[in-house]
Amino acid sequence: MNRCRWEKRVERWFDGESTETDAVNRHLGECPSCRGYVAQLTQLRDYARVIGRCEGIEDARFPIYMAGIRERIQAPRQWYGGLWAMASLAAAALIIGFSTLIVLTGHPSKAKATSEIESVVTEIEGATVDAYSGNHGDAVVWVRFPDGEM
Amino acid sequence: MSMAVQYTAWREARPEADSALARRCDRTEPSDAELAGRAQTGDCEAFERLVRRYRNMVFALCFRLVGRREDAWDLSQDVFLKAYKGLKGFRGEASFKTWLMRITANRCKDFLKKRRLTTVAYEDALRADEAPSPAPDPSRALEANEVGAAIAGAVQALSPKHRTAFVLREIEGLAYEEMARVMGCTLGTVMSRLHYARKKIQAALLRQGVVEEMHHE
Repeated sequence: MNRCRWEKRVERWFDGESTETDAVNRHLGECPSCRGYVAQLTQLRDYARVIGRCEGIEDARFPIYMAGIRERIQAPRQWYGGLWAMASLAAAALIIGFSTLIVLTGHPSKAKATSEIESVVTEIEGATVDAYSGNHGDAVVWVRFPDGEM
Repeated sequence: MSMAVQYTAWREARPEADSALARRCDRTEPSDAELAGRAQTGDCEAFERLVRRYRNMVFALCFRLVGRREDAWDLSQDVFLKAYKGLKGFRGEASFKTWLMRITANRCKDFLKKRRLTTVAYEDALRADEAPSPAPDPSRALEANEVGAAIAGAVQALSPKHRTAFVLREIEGLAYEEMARVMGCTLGTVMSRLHYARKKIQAALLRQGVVEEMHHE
């Protein structure tokens, strides 16, 4: 069937929502296509009544039904739980990771000497020199002057 | 005919109805607005009265949208849970019924998105208590059952938004404006979805041979 451009206006009229009832009525008198469309809509509405019937919740079952609703109302809110657990774990992992990073990379502090290098020579008068090799293959040299200045 | 007689006749014709007219006739029955106001302050008895009043409407709409009674039972309880939690936000701009229908439509839409149902639950479509009244001829009863299953299947095959539009108009009988409030969209969108839903269902029924092409002179 060819569609008529009045189809949507006819549909509004069929649903009782039209503001141009007279015009639609006149058109229906002239347009077999739209009359056929109205017949289809009527048939569809009749069929919809077939599936429209539905047994509700009878009075005898209402106490169980209402108990189910009360149970849901009183149940503790759970949707935060998962989120908080994940956030806590993530924060803990971040703290541990950051701490580990600091420990491993270290900071510029006085090198702890593990061994004294056998001999170091200096040409600075009156100064004594001590040198130590650090844990990471580096060497730390301490130069002491007579008045203790380093 | 007196008001009381009219009311009795009306109630006998619609025993499951629980509408505003019934409440007007029963002077002790508070309005939705009154009950909602009391429920907002924590009055559980008022909330229970609202549940009792609208349980069938909510259940039926859930069933028509998702197609299974078991799911409709759970979903309708969820709807009332959401309504209870959202009572503080209910300002009375729309009627309580429309507000509740909106929660129902949204809840069913979310449920269907998760389940991505595209097939009908045939056991629900073929339930004898939902079929048309039994015909004296068994073959006509079978035919009626088949038509019921076919149209239920065609409705369930629609997307949630188109299914909602069709159910709200053809089964719940809502006006376009009320549909727009329930579906949270414009009037134009309501008309467009309804038009599309009708076309799709009609095409499905044609394919199955349930209806014939209309040639009107």
